[in-house]
Amino acid sequence: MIGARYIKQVIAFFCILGSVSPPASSADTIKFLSWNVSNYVPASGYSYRGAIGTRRLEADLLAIRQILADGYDALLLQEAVNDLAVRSTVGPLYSVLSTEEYREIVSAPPQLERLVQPFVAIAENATLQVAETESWRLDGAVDGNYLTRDILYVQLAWGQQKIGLVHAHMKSGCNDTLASVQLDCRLMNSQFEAIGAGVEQKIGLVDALLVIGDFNRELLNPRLKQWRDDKVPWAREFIAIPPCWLRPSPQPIDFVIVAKLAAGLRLATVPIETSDLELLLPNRISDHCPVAFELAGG
Amino acid sequence: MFLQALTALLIVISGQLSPPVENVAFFGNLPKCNAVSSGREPNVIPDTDRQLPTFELYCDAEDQERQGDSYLISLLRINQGHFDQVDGLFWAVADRTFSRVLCSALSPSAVHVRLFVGGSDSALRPLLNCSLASAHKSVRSVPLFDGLSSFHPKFLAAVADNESWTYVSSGNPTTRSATVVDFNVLFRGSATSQLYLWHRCVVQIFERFMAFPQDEPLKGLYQQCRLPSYSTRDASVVPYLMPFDQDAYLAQLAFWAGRSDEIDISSQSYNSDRILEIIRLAADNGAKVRYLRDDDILLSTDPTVAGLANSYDEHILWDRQLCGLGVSRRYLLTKPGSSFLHSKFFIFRGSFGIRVLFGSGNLTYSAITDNLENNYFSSDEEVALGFAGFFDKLWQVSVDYDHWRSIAEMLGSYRGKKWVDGNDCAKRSSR
Repeated sequence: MIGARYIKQVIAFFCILGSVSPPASSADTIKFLSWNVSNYVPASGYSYRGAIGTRRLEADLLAIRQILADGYDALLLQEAVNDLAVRSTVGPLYSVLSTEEYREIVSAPPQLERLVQPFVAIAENATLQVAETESWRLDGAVDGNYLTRDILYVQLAWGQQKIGLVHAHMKSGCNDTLASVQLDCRLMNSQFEAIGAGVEQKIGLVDALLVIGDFNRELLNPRLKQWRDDKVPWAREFIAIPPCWLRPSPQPIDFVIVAKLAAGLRLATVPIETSDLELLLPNRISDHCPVAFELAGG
Repeated sequence: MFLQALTALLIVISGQLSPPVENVAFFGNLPKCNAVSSGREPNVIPDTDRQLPTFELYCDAEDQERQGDSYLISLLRINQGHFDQVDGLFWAVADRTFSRVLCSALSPSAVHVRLFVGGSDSALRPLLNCSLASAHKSVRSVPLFDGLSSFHPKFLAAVADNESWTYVSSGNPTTRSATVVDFNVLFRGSATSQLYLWHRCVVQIFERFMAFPQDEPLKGLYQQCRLPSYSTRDASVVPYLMPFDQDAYLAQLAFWAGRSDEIDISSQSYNSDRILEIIRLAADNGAKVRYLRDDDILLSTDPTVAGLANSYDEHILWDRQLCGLGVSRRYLLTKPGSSFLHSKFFIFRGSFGIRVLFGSGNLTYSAITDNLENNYFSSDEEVALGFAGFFDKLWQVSVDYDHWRSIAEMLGSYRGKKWVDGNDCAKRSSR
């Protein structure tokens, strides 16, 4: 009895010391975390992004790390400043995937606008591998000078199952608007259209298809029901978590949207223990709730 | 049973904590020159003594021509048509061959080459004219900015397929590279290694800073490249961008100096009182300290070292404070303007094994607080042993002050000299 408890403490201690330590995903479950990490760089100080930058202390970074380090097989992170920030946080055991848009930015002339990017980190092992990735481009359809915020599609091979993940960070500034022609809303609508086209293409090829991320849209707001039915007709279920200390708003904007879940697969949210972190200033951590969930029945 | 489980657990965990070890190559440039032994250099040294290894570092222009390709040029030559992405910063590029072979090293499908250098851009011409189908090319000389006193970094980082080459050196690509006593370290790893990405990130933010200098200071932009402390704790190589990482760099120096039984040091110049304090404390606590100096500073009226002569008193002050039992200082005999000691590194030895700090920065006040420099800590044994072997070779061909003085007098009575008794250990009245 003493041994088991001691080993647990040793594991906890070393997990804190090293890089984020993923579990070896089992044949039965995969554990996911999706989170907008808010202008994330892993060093203390001011993470500049114009008027919406984020200032963090070392303790704030440790809190983020504590949330990320809870043994997830897949981390879907929105708003990291670059892949170095993600890789140096999650460590070498995760494969870090980025959009084609990001890979182009790395080799392009600099832009005045400060950028943040979505990344997906997968802990590959014997039972879980990245089978395919695609960037769903918007090709500057809204405005040639505007960032398109490509959508990243990742297909996982999990035993005999094919799991499709669509990682989205939708354009902000249009969270509960019904109709608008302003640029933010046009871009967000284009992103939803790109996801719709991608879902249609992939849905017959996988056992589960999940659209995950920061939608910057109050998708459960009754005011938006008609809009939702029009723009997200492929949604079978919206999974969100209750308001959290980071985002007390009653209307969530971070979701897992189920487009397909084959018989035998089950999806459930996983609680995240943050009570020991809640003394920290939330605006130094993130303005979004992390969404953790587990896919079972593989 | 419990102990077995715990041992297995620790092995698994320690394996997880250690990032993939980079493949490392070290090359310390030790020229073989015959300016003295051949008699080309005017001197009154007896024939029998001219063959001493000490004189092999005393190189003239003819020696420079005979030395062949530098390590960096060779590296680029064997990677012709290979690199997809190249990022580099150098204090100066003064060798068109470098620009030509770098152009040739880029693959037809290269996506970018970003190279920023201090000083003139005339030697960059072949690279500026390099025909690249669709690559983003940003190659230029840079002015001083943001209160920096010197743009002094030295590295080149490249990617081909999924591999990376991260080259760091104390030297710049110049026509005299082959006769300058510099170190060269090449880290090979994946294109996603933390070390490579840090270098790419530094050049990326630098390019952004040059494009929009009014938007945000370089210090703020560097936040994007900073590594979390927990990821560097177990890393075999940790990079520091000075002056922004000066606290972390000095903390690392103090940590290892304080635990060392032996410290070996090489630098072109010394005047940092913060470094001096750390090393002096270690020496006072029993660490044996050996340090190497170039001799050009002692030839203070030579116009080629006029810049150094301005801070002559500071340099000598450093020497007078770090002296006494357990401290040895020796000189390399080099010809001002043609060859010189240019390697900057510390080697720490103790019960922990061997560790090194190295980089572009000299042991000067400016290199810590005012210059843009790329420095590194390494616990990688291969890197450390490379530096240790290099230092030992340099120590063997170095001479103590009295010996140096006698040789210098025979070599060039035409030079003005400002003699300092190197054995004069200052009274430490303040201690």
